[in-house]
Amino acid sequence: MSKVDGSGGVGILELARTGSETLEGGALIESHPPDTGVVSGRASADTDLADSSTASDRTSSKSQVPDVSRKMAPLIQIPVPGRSPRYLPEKAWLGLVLEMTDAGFRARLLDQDGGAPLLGDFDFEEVADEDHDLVHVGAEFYWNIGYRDSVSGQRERASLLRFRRLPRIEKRLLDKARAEAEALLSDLQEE
Amino acid sequence: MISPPDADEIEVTLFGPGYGESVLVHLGEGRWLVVDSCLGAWAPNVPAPLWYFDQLGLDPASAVGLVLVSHWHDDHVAGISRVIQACSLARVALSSAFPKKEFLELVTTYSKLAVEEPGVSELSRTLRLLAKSTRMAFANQDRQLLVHQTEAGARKVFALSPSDLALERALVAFGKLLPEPGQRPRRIGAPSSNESSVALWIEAPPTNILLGADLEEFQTSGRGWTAVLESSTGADGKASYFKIPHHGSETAYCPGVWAEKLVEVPVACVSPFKGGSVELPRPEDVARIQGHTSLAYATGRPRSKKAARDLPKAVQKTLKEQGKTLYYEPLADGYVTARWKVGHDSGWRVKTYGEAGELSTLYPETA
Repeated sequence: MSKVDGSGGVGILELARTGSETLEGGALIESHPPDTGVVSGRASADTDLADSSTASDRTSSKSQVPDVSRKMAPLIQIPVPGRSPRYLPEKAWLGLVLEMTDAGFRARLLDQDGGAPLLGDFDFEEVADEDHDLVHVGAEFYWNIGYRDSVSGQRERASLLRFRRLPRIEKRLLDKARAEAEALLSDLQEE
Repeated sequence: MISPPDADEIEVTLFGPGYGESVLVHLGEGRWLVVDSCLGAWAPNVPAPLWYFDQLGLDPASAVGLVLVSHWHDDHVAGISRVIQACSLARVALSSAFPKKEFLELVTTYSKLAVEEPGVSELSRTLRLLAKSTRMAFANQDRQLLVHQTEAGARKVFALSPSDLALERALVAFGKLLPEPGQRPRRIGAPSSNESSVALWIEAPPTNILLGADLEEFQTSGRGWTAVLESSTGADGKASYFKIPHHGSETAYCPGVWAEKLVEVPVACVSPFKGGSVELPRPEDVARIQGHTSLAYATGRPRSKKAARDLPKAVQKTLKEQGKTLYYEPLADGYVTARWKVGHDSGWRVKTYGEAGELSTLYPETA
């Protein structure tokens, strides 16, 4: 993210990311229908976002409205009131940490749509700092791969990994389990 | 369709490899014994014993005389509650560690925690299914679990373990796995001890069969295979078929078993295991087994197959960007069947199916 004082008094701008649905090094602000909230026009020089000659090459000589594909990612995005970022998962797994490795951990991945279990290796750097204490053999995490739509309508691929924060075990749960075990014990008798 | 064994034919079929093991034994005249259960690639989500009986055209309700749950680990109990339900007239033998407060508390506690614990969940279903039933027997060292009379003589099934000391140690280990109040739930993971595992000795004249389950060796009096060898009331004679214990691992190797309880060149079968980075048997394990017998077989060799192609394209692209490769968890996909036609003195005839084969073929690097 980069804060710039762009034309039209734009507030927070989001730099385009490289990727399958993003623009490589474009200087223009994408032309979008009004409901996207992305303004048309050129980024001001003080945004320091890109090379202006590239921008000229891609600008319509008649209207000065950028002639760019709608697939081009916006460089400047304005949050649209009422729109919130959303995540569209393509695949979701429940991960179970099987063992720790030098650089991270190995996990069994249970497909949340019922597909075959998979195995994968993860580096510690893939885990958010605040989750590091939760990484241990037997820990569970959610791992989703999909798309993330920003508040301005930009879509990018995203991989989200979050460790489960399970509530601490209460004594009453253990007491209940103990009582059930005793009842089960009396029901398990040899013929 | 596979032909079922003849009435006078003894059969031992071992399922594996990958993540799971199950053994089926035909005691003669249509009577079967089932040890443990696993799921495999042969039919999605169908326990191996039920799939096999279906292939043979047999009704498990009338064919099976005994189902043994040798121990509680995930790779031995997948689908066991369905097997017990289908084998509705069979006696069900459980490790004597099961009907103990320490073990049951572990099961009921983990059933309440929001963590994925498939082995415990399966055992919880099984124990609740068996509650108040009159089908149960508890297996411990030297206990006779089944006698099946045939025209060729009695077929007897004995438990060789757990010993009293092993049971005591297993209960202590269960207690240590119980969470404390205030602790955050976590999976049990892969418990290291198999002390309460039930190994079987089957007298099937003119031969004997030794099924090693996951019983390990501790080189300590009263525990593991040493306890089996120390017993004066257990297995008599020598076995010509050996289901190698604990996927062929070094920790389950006891030279005395090969010397005292097995014929000179037994048929030895192993179900390999692959879970995380643990792969059994290791090459040195294979070499050791081959040093004992030339008739060694395995239910396959688990291989990691890449999963990328079957994932959505956007997922594939993201994984590629991350430099990450995902693999399928190896599923059981092979089995070894050994049959002995009684009265013909022909010894074992071994056939392999799926990815199963001779150990020397599956592990050529150890030759």
